[in-house]
Amino acid sequence: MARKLVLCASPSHLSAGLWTGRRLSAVHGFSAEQPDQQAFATFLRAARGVPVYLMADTVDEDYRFETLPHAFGKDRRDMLERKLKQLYRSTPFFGANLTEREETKRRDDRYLLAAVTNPELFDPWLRILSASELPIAGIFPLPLVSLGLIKQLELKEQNLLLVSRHEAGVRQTFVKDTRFRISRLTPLRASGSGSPVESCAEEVRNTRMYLDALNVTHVDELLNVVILDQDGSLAALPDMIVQGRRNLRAVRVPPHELTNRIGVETTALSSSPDALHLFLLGQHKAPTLNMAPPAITSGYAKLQVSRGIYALSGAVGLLAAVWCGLNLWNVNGLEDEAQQISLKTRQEQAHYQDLTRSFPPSPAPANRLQATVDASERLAGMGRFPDTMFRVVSAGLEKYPAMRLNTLRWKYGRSGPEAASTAPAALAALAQTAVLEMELTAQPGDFKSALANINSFVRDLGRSEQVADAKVSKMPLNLSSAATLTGSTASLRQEQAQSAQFDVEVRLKPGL
Amino acid sequence: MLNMSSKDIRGLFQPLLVLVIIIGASVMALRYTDASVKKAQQGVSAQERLLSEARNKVQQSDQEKGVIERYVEPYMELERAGIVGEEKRISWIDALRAANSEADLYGVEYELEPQKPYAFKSEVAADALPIHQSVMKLRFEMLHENDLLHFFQALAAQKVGRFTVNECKLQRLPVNLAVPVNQPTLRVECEVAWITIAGSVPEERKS
Repeated sequence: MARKLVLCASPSHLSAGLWTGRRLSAVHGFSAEQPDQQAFATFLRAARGVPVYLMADTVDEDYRFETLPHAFGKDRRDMLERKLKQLYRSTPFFGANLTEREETKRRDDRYLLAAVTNPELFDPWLRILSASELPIAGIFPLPLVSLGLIKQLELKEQNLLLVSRHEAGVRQTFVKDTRFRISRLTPLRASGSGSPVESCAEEVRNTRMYLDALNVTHVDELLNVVILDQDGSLAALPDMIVQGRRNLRAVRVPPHELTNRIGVETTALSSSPDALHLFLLGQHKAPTLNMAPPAITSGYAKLQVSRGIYALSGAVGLLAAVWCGLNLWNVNGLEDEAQQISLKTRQEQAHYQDLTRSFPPSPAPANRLQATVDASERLAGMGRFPDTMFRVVSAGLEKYPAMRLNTLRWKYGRSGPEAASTAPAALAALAQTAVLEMELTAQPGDFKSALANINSFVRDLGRSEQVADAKVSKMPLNLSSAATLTGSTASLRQEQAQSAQFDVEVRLKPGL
Repeated sequence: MLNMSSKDIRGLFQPLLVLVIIIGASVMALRYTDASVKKAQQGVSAQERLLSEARNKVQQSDQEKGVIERYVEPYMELERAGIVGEEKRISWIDALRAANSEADLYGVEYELEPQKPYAFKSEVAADALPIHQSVMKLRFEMLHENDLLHFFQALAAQKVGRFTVNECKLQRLPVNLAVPVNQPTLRVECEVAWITIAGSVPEERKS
């Protein structure tokens, strides 16, 4: 638990203690005089950075209940602020707390409003605190701090009056059905006729009558008075209170019982009458009713945000550390797994090496041997000589003695429409192709006969079983309508034969 | 409601800096460890693959032995024939001379190009094999077209390697009646590819 600097301020005195998480250190008291204020400033130097929880214990206080329309969020805040400023114009120290929601049809909200009506009460202390730059968590009414006792002391009575003695006087807090109703502080002045205990008893009896007068209690109802006797000085008080009063019952909680049931140390209790409530302020979560204006608590807000950011940083770091830890654990496991598999692999490889000792000596792995031999056989089957093409061309030329072959360009490879297509090379069959550069001896001007011979030759070639395709790639005359045709009819009179050049393309069937 | 002055907000610089540093360090650490996990997973996958291969080899060892027994002799025969292993260019030239002599040609001019990948590898269906070719261009003259076939048959008979004829151009020479009878009538230009399959390297033999 975090450390807290817990303070209890009254008009003439300030009690201060350091809550260290589980215990309250010795409580120091400071008067409003200048030397004590300097001592308080020195005391604060030892509590650097510790948030301050200030408790107000003064007669200049006001508590009232207000019923307001049910609202949420900003509407509620604005409404309460308006109400508080309207009620407490002379002080900045006020606050409100939603206590319950009414059961009526409108189901209005019931608020407890509280204020310290004399703002000068805190001036010297707040000035010193401000100079020390300690973050102020808030200013809380002492009676609300004492409500923590109800649960710890198991006080279940309907009408309960908590009586405690403080530096500022006797504090009486009336609680009905475990809810705060009224509280009053009475400065203790030993009157000439009686002891302080007697005047305290008198005050309690007066309070009882005051409650009846306010109709908070009925005269026949039993009021249970719980006396928090921190220093053992109120031992006689219960008897004095109930003397002659049937509607009063008084129970004293002695110091040792406070120590046993609350946990506050006897040394702390004996050091200050405010020690019990300082202990409660440190031990419990601060009351929701905070009377400090935002300007005072801005330092604490910064501290909270700062703590939140550090907590977030810690959470991020922790999460990342856990995640990284899991990852590293995972890596470790995977590396172990890989090592185990590697060991098995080595065992299998060793087993395989043992087996290979019975293999015949080989210049290459088995798969390479097989692939090489198979590929070599396929290569042997792929090679072609041009003899087939020669036979086909020779057979074709036998019927045409007037034709003469000048040049033969033979090629074996990817050819024809398969090679030109976009199909993969493996699908394109290898085939023999040849370009025959030929000439035909023809009578002058007898182009029709020459062309008929050429076409007949090509047709005969194409009819051969081995030929896939035969065509004329170049004619002696370009008879295309798109080309220019030139010549002279004068040559018709010449009787000498003329030579006509032409080219033929032959493609054998794939596989030949 | 938080009510903080600008001074208070400036005071949050340090925790915010810590937060940024921790987030940055966390992101870096997470990325590093995530990468480590991924790497370790890949390592396990690789080891599993190796184990699977090793087990397959053990299971197929009988079959492998049978393959070796069947193919080792033909493979070594290919090595001896110069088809597997390094090129034997000297032997090819010698074989050219011998074939020229056997085919009664008038001399063969040759030009052997640098080695390169075999052009019809996909037709051989041996993409994984390192098959190479060295193209040899031949120029010679001959009396009759049948001499060309005799020449290639004689070259093949030398058994100095495997070759395929890619292309040939036969051109009739002009007839000159003034020269003796046994003079060449055809000029030939051919392109022959000498094909070799690279031998196994030591690393492959181990696997």
